[in-house]
Amino acid sequence: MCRIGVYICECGPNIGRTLRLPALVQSTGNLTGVVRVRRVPVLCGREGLDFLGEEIVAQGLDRVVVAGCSPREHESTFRSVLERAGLNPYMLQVANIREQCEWVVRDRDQATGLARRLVAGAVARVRHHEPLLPSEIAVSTDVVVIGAGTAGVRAALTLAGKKRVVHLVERLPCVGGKVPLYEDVFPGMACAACVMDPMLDELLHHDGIRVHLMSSVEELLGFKGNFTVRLLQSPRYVDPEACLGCGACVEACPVRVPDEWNPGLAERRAVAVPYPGVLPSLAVVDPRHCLRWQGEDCRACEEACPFDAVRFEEEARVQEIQAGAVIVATGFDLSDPGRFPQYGYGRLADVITSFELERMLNSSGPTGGRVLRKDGTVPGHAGFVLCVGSRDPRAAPHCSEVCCRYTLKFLHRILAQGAVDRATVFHAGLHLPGGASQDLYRALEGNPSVHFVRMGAPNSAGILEQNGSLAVRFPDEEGRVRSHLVDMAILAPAMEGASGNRELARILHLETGGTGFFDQGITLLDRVEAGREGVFVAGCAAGPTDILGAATGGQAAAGRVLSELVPGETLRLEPVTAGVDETLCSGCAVCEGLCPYGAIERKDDPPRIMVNRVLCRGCGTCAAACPSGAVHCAHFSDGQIAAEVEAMLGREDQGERSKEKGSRIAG
Amino acid sequence: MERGSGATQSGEGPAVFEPVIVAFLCNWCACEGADAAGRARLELPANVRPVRLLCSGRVDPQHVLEAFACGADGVLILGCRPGECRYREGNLHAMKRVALLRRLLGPLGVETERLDLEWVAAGEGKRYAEVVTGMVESLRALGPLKPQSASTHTTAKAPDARTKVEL
Ligand SMILES: Cc1cc2nc3c(=O)[nH]c(=O)nc-3n(C[C@H](O)[C@H](O)[C@H](O)COP(=O)(O)OP(=O)(O)OC[C@H]3O[C@@H](n4cnc5c(N)ncnc54)[C@H](O)[C@@H]3O)c2cc1C
Repeated sequence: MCRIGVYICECGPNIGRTLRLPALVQSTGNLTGVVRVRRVPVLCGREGLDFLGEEIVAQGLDRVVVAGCSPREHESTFRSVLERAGLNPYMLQVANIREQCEWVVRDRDQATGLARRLVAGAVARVRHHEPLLPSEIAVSTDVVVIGAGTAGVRAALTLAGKKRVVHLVERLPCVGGKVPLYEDVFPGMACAACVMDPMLDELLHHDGIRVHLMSSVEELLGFKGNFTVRLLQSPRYVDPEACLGCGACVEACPVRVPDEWNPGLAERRAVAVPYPGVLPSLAVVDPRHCLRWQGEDCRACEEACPFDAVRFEEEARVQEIQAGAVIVATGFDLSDPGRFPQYGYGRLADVITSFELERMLNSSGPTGGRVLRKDGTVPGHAGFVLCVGSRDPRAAPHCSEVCCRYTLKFLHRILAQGAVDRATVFHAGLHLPGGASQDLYRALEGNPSVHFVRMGAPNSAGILEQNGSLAVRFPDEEGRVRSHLVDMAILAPAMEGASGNRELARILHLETGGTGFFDQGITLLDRVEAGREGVFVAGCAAGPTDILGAATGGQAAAGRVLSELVPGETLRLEPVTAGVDETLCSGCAVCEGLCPYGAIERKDDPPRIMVNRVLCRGCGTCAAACPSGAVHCAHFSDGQIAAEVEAMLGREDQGERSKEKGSRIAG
Repeated sequence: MERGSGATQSGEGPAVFEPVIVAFLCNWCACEGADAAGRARLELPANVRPVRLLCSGRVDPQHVLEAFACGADGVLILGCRPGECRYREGNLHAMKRVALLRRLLGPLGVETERLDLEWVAAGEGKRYAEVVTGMVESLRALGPLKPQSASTHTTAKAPDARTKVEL
């Protein structure tokens, strides 16, 4: 027989003005199993808690009901009192007679009647409670970082500095993201390679960092402290230990295809060293274009390689990694300006993107740093069109943040090297935060070669061909259509989340916003929150930012991981999970597809399912769906729920009748 | 002592039928919403018997049938708004189950208005108040659950029905 103590908290002046407490005490005393009912002025106060602990011991209670405020406020407080008094903390039930009764029901009799039912429900329920023990599991403090751009690399190095094992997953054959492809970088006009190369060198030579190139995350199971990450690595077909990136194979390759590192500017071979200065400096075979995958037995690269580094037999590799946290640093992609036909991108030869200009300006790029029109001539007049897609609710509603500044950078660079005679910037308001970018702007003021022209609205220009030149047309602030002739137009397309972010979001169980960024968890005080415990977002993956913002984001995400996952600390797993009665389970696995955490696994011989208690979070949707009553849910069992419902409806709780498990179908 | 179905409220005036409603509340949203209603001291009818669960997806059709069998005049399931489920999609599973369950309730003599699923977010005390008050009013108009229908369907029979609502 149970020994239940019921403690009715008056919550100072809060409970008992409407409720008739004497009547509540009296009816509660008649409930099955109740051996003690006490009113307490303030149960959550120091005295109240001590009193409760003493009562449990003195009265030999095995179960406790507290009638008072919402369990949200003090359920955990009272559970620890039970624990200190030698009872299992789950032998408690809280009846919320404050928020859900005293405070909302005005009629004294009705309120008292409702409170009686709430307490009766709690008493009936607690009779079915069972002691539950939490388990402690070790956490992994290893970290998976996705994306090896500025943000991902900063994160990896920060983590490795504290001796964390880092797996840096990059889908490209090289590290560094976009920045190593630029010539110089705002705001200080430093050389991009000078900024990035030392950092990337440190990365590639760090013992604690495993760089997984040409890899993608295919699956993420588990939770903070206990993730299992499945990686798929595509073959490079080149042995990284043997290759030096000398390029002998490249020269031998007979295939020519457009070069995605230099869009519209150059061709590459089917085997290639991505771009000059790339790190790591290694060749890679592209099976989409290599003749061997078109059914021909070409071995040109293999034969040309002085180091026997080519490995046609290499295969894709799947690898499982245990990690405690994940940092998403997948960066951005520029949107395709072809989406807005009025700009003529793709149709008019000398309409290019800012990224293409970066490649032209790069001294080791395809034009050796010279700005050239498609016909090979030097443009006299360059036009920079800002906000191509950005700040337009019909396209990308956000400001891409860096375009105005990189345009100033371009102006300084092309004027310094005399690449053009004249430049005009078509903008809809310049976004130049910070002192250094204001300096960049001021240094151009009064320069007769540079003109800033204001458009009436973002994303409102169009470009037409006119007598061998390009006419940039747009409505000005008064709505009058204006037209300027230029020889080359450089578009600043909106930044959007990296291609593949939506698929990655599905795998990581995150959400992306409308423009593909992982920006849904961000708050005013937290730019690295991804919306899921143990997963963080850094750099442009969270939204447009500059190099400094990306680096800071990487460090911030790493800082969060360092403070949240400490070596040697364990993770306490709540015991409220599902379980299976194998004698009843038919193995139909209806539950398997419903589990949001992949915690249910199907087994054969005999067919049945098993619940992984580490992954299970206790939501109970499996138990609700089980057609044979084999799946049960700790602390929210069918018997506990039914007892509470019956008692609240005024039905006498049928004591020992158990509606758990088999009795439901045996019914 | 107040009884379940068919009880009338005390007080002056002609006796009004007072339905009893079992409300299954998701711990993360609706429960918070109900608490928010309390903190705002909104006025709520005393007809609701709240049952706290971790997720609206935990509500087994069996729990609903049992509530009716034990004398509830209505059952309300309150979950997080779509896309906001703490457990990703438990609320959507609840929605599918309710849709099927409502079809079964007709033949059992339980009017479909007696079972409802609504979304109530954590801060939505006012919405919680509107939802429960609305249901109480509609059940007052509908009257008590006819004893010859539901209460003859005891919990022992219910499992036959639930095998059709696997989801
Ligand atoms: C034309 C142009 C010029 C710019 N000039 C400047 C400048 O001068 N100064 C400045 O401060 N900022 C500049 N910026 C901004 C700068 O490029 C970004 O701030 C910086 O690249 C952000 O770094 P990141 O690591 O967040 O992203 P990225 O550099 O985009 O790196 C992301 C990495 O993640 C990888 N990745 C993506 N998806 C996946 C996936 N699913 N799995 C694995 N790996 C993945 C990518 O391959 C890439 O290597 C410029 C931007 C543009 C467009």
